Amino acid sequence: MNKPQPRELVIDIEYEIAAPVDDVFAFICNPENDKHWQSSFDSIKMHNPDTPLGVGTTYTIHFRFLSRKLHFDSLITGYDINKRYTYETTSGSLPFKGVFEFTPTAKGTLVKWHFAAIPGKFFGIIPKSLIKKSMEKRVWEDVEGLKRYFNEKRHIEQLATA
Amino acid sequence: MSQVTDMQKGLYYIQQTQPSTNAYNVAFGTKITSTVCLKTLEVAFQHVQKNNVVLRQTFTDLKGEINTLERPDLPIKLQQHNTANLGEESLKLIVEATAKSPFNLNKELCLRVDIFPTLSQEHVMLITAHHANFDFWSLALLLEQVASAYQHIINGQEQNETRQTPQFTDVITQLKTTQQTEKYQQAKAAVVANLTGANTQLTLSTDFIRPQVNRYQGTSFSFSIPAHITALIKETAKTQNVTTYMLLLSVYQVLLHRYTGQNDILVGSPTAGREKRKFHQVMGNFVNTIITRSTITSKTHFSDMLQHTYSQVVEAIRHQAVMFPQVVEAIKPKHDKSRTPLIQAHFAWDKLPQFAQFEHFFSQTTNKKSIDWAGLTLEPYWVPQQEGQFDLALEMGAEIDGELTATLKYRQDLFSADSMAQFSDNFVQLLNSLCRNPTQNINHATLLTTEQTKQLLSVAHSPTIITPRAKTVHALFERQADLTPNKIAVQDINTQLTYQELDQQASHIANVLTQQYAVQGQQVGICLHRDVNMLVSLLAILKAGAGYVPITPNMPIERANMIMEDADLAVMILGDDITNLKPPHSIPTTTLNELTNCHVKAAEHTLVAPSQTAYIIFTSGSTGRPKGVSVPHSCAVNCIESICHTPGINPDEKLLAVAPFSFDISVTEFFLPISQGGQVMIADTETATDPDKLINAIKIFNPSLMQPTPSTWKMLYSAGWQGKKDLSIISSGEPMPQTLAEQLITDCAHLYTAYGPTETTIWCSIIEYTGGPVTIGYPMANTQMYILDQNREQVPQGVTGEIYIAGTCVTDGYYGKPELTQKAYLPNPYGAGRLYKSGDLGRINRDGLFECSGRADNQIKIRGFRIELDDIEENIRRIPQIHDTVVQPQIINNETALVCYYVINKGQSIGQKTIQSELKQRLPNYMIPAFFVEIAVMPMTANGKTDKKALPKINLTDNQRDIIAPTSPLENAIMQQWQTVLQQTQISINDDFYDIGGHSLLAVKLTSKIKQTLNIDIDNQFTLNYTTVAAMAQAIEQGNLVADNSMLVTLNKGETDHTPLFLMHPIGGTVHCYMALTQSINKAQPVYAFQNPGIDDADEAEVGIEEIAQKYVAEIRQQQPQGPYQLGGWCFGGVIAYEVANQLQAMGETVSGVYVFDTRAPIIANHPDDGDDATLLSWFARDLAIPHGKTLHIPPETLRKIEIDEQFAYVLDRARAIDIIETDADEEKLMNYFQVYIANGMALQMYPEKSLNIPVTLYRALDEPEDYGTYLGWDTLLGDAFTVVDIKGDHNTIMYKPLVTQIGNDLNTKLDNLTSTSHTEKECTYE
Repeated sequence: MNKPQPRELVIDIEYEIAAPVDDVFAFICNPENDKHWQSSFDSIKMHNPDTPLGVGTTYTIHFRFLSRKLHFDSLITGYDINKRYTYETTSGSLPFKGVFEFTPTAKGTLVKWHFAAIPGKFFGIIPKSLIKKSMEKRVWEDVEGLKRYFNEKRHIEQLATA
Repeated sequence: MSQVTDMQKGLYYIQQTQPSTNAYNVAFGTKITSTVCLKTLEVAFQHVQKNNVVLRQTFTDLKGEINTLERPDLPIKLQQHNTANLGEESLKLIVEATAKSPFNLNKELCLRVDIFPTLSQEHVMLITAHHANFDFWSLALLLEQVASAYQHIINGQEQNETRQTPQFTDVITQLKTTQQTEKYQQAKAAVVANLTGANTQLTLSTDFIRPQVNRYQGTSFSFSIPAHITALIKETAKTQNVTTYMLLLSVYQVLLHRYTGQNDILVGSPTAGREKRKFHQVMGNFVNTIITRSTITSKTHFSDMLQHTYSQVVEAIRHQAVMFPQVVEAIKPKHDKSRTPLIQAHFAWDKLPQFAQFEHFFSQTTNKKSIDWAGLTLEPYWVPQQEGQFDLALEMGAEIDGELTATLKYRQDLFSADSMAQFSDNFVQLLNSLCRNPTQNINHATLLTTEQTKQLLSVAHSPTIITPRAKTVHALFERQADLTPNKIAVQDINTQLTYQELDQQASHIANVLTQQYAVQGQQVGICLHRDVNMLVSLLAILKAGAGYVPITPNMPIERANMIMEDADLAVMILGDDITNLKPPHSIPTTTLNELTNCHVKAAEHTLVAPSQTAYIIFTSGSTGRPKGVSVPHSCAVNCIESICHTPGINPDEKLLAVAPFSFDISVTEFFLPISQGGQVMIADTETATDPDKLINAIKIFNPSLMQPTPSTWKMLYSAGWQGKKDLSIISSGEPMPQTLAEQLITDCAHLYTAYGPTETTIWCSIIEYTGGPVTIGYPMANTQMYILDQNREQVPQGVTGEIYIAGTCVTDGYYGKPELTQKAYLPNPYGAGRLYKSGDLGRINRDGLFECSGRADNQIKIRGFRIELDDIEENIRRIPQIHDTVVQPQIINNETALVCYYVINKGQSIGQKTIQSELKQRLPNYMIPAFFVEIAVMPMTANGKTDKKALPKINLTDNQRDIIAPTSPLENAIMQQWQTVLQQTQISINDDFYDIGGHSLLAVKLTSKIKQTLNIDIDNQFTLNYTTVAAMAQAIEQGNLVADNSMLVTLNKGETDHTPLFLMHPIGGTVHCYMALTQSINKAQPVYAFQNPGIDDADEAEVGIEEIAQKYVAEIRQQQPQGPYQLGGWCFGGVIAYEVANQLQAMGETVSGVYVFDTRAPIIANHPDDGDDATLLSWFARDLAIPHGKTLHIPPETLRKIEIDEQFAYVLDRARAIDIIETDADEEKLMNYFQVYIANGMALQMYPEKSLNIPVTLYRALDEPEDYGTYLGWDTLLGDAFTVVDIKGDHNTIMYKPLVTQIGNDLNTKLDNLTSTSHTEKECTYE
């Protein structure tokens, strides 16, 4: 029958954003900004909205992906400003962990994202290889959106300073 | 490497083909309650391993040659588990799971030893061995040798390596020599002779539908024989001069006979296979299976049977050296993957002297007596073992506290534990009965326990007792007419009558009949077309105190004449437009017009007794002459009143009547609604038989209740009926397929399945269907139903027998045929009245519901019509040229069809058309066989009966075609594969695969067959590029086996001066769907098609339209470096074509046309809301069926209720059930197809709406019932900048012949025109 499927679904990608690391870190590492650039995003509720972001911050976030609604209770587990940001789920549709690493470059910021999830049977009969491909496709589309966001931001800032 | 025995080969084969089975795991469990040194125990095992070669071997399979291989690198290790903290129950689960863990015979030794520490600091030791290299005797040797070694080590004594001689390898060598001897061959011949002609299929009634493939998965049920019966058994065996084993085996065979009704029963038993003393100390698999055959008659007494078993066992043991696999090979039983060959029942009497002290270790009892072993204290720790080897295996031999213990091992995919508990109770009951009176007839020995009898009778007797509101059928109506005189009672397409009008008109005609024809107490024939007057006339006859005898206008004259002759008609009423029927002069004839217009004085109501005949319906008779069932008012009233009670009829019920009035379900169609204030709407004959017209009638009349046969529903669905959410259905007349029932409950309000022969008045049982297997429910009011065997003894619950019916529903019998009546209407031993012998097979299932499983005799039902095959045969034999004939039903294209096999008289000839036209004079259409096969002689069985199983399968191809036979051995070899795959014999070497039934799935199968048979490497494009036998042979000869490009398929090379057309695959990924289109396009036009690369390698499947298009664009530019480009695609393929066009344009190229064949535009609105994997799997199932012209509708919600891991298998099972994939279909390949399907489905969902400047031509399927908007969303996407071409047909049929030529013709004009033009925006034109 099927080829054996790995239990864990892992995605590693890296991309460069033409923006300073301060801006990129602040934007990506705030879950409330997901709505601006993640096309699967549905809604979010920060559990303690008045508390600054950092290790221990918790929130509930909802996505739609492959015709399914996903919800996660998530926890920020690492918040090393402008360097590293880690988060993981405490409960929800499926367990996952994510790690962002940020490195300043000549053109802006290099972002590395490592993502590991255990989809289990959440996506039904869809083979994990296809889930992974579709996630990667969606992430790359989102990265393009992210780049567009920063380009537009820069453009607006340039206009403002001109 | 060492050779193996045939038995070992067989077991190895089973383990390889069913790798998850543990049926051949031999297990021994014990709890070591004393202190044990596990390290020493391990060393002891390893010491024994060194001395016994079978403990060092694995198996190998080199090109089909199976051998054992010594593996010194695999020492026996004690596998220690982390169980010290587990409770008893958890520990038991783990131990049992370990014992059932399957062996990988290629990698593992055939022996495992597991140690489980317990909470009480003891140890459970589990020894598990695979039977391929080990037997029970070997287990005894192992325990003995390990004990000895352990004690020696503990005592500090030196352990010598004492290699046992001989070893099992020596035994095999000797066995091979022995098998060559004449003595062995003689013994084999004797065994084969004893079994020749035996029935090799044991047809036990199962709780679950027998899977098509036996997975060898079983479980156990243990019980014991009470001490007093155990003593009785021994005593009886002694007095009858047989062994206890022989007596128990005999009773087991009697039980199987009583459960199956089969007289010829084969039971296998194991023999140790160690006749030679020198082999007694050798470990290995010596076991062989011997077979005993019992032949039972209706007069067999138990004592006779014991003597027969005695001689069978003695002979079998005398020839026990004859290996079972060789017997199977010689007998050649019909290949059936769902059963073990030759024997499905097994009986083992295990009494090994070596195991004397361990006896209670192998029985699931509470006896925990400990023993001393190697200085250790062992307690029994029972684990199940060797389960699932047979359908049913009874193991006995141990005796504990004076009680014989027994374990029933059974296939859990066939039987429930409840059934096995019942089986064991019946075994004990039979033992008791037969041993108390060994001279009694085995067929009447007490089988059921008192409790079981009580339970069966409680199910058999309807608890509902009703008292009818009126005593006659017309009185029920009259009562209602008084209550609701102005309500509409009946209507047809032109007329409607209120209750009062209907009553008045019927009363008038009743008066005429009474006064002019004195019909009271007589029969009145009636032949009318279907309209409101039919009901007026029927009511009139009943009101006049007569019984009506219906004759349909289209009934063959000869048959109508027989009915009129036999029914003693007082008068015959003819419709005014009936001219073909000429009643005999002795029968007065009148017309409806005459009756209506005749003036007679008003008269009092005729008094009609409930016992008077209401109607006589003639059904098929075995003599070639129909027989009339005479039904009194009391019976018809009971049926109507019972239905009014359950399920209940409401006063506003509107029933659309479609059944011919010669079919008894018409009685409830006509009289049920008007007994309750409802309305009957009568469909004319043309409407009732034409699916399109019937669909229309359902729309017009808007009925709330209908009761056609399942065949009618199938017909409606085939014509595109979508269901009716407020419609209730009562369906009867023939078996209701589960798939149809599931579809009906999805599409309609309620479905009731009912059952009943005409002789017990329309229906005698009913139930609302809510899912799962279809049953016929439970008896209706005032009715009793029994399941009896051929000796009229009640059979146990779950066991199939014949349905017998008693109660108010039982009719008077066959009019004028007292002898026939006496045969079918029997004295009722269970109560008052008579007992009707239905001839239908059935059973009471585990839920206490009745099931019907077909006919016990030569009678069948086709489309609800009851047909005596004898009747048809008798009429065929009357044709002078016919010498003999047999008519058989066969499932053809998922429908039951009649096939006539005939032998003609010497020197004469007759063709199919002549036989058919002769029969049309004598039989109704539904009784005329659809297929005719001339055979030289009728095959006969040894008993001199016609051997129906030996009749050839019919050939569905048109025999009139010119067949060009293969001209070379290669063509011949290819032809054979075509014939196998297409299941046709009449194939010409120039026939196109796709013209004679080939489609994508069959192409995959054909590819595989050709690869295997010719040992060549071809890819799946081979069947696309070479579509005739001749072309395939030529390609193979020229070495054109594998396509250069796995993605791009050349469908037509065409001419180089034409711009190619590139077609994109639909969602399934293959391009077989374009074969017919290509054939309809100008031959000079090059046509290429893209096949999804995931078809060959699932990893290559992309999940983005853009990514897919990117790959195809690269290929297109290789093939055609510059534009203008012509692109196209069906369904999903159209979306890819759209994106390919987008990417080509982005590169600065020109796209001259994108032709999308009924493609839904890629807009968000077209994405299903619930387009998850279950939806895609549902679509996949649907699309699997389409090439076969069948429907496979599995709603996504059904799939979501199934375990994820089982969903795909469920779809395949459903597909197999309707014959759209083969039993042995390549599941891996199908999974690949599904992965491509699901990837494409995901791609479609993620594709964003893109409004582009692309010249799209939409070929719109006009007859597609799915509504995705007038222009399938293209207007939303492109505004008016696209062209529409309307094509007759639905989404699927437009791509196949003959409808695809519409697209082909249009493309021929467009492709010609566009070859040299570039795209400019077009106005929307609607052609």
